[in-house]
Amino acid sequence: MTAIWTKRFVNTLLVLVAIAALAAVIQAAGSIADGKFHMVSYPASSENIRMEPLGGESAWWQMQAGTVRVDDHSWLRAARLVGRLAGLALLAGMFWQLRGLLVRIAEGDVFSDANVAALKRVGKLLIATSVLSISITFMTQYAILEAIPDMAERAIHPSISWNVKGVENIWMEYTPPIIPVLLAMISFITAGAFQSGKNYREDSESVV
Amino acid sequence: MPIITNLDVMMAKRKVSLKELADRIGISNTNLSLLKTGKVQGIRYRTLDAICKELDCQPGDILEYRADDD
Repeated sequence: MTAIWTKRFVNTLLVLVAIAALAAVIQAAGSIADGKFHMVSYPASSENIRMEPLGGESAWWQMQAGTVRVDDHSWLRAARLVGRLAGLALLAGMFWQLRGLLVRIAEGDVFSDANVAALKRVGKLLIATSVLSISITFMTQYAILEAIPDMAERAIHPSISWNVKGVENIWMEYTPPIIPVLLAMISFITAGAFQSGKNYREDSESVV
Repeated sequence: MPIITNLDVMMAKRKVSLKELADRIGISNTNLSLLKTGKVQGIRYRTLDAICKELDCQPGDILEYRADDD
């Protein structure tokens, strides 16, 4: 891929991130206009599967996943919006670093200080994104749990929790950012490899 | 660096110009100039061999170790 096409590709990704940020703001504005901004919903799934027959005994409507919702939590909704925008900003920053890196490589400038620094920055941004994701999820789940009153027949759990016997257990869902953390590790290892390549190139260039 | 290059001294003794020596040993004037002024990280045995052959000297006549004062 040429430098120009690389730039165009990453520019497209940056535009998509900007569109996602704009969509988040528009969605929030729509919620405020509808008077629903105080509602916070979060995906959850139950250990029980409710089944309803679909016109007989051979087909079923299975219900297991849904959302828990708490009202009067505008601050949480606003915090989640800020977190989402911050996450998108970090993603845009990562794409920007990637853009410079790919363009320099496409132009033949591979083992350089600029590329080593860009790879380290990509790794740091990925780690920051992961920490942000975990923090926002932790805050949201515990704020929702605080708002839900105790129930005799159901227990709502955060993502990491033991089940309670004798009640219907419902877990709030979350997939930890394992892939971003792995990509961050690969970025740091690649930065180290580029640093070694740069040292080797400099050494070989100044041996006569 | 405590390794000193005395190539200019040997070239003066043998009355050889930089261009002439570069042509004889098959490296560029620029690289030989860098070697003469000690601005290189290393020297290949092949280059050292060619210089010693052309200047009729030993590697020790060209390279010298001088300990740092500190």
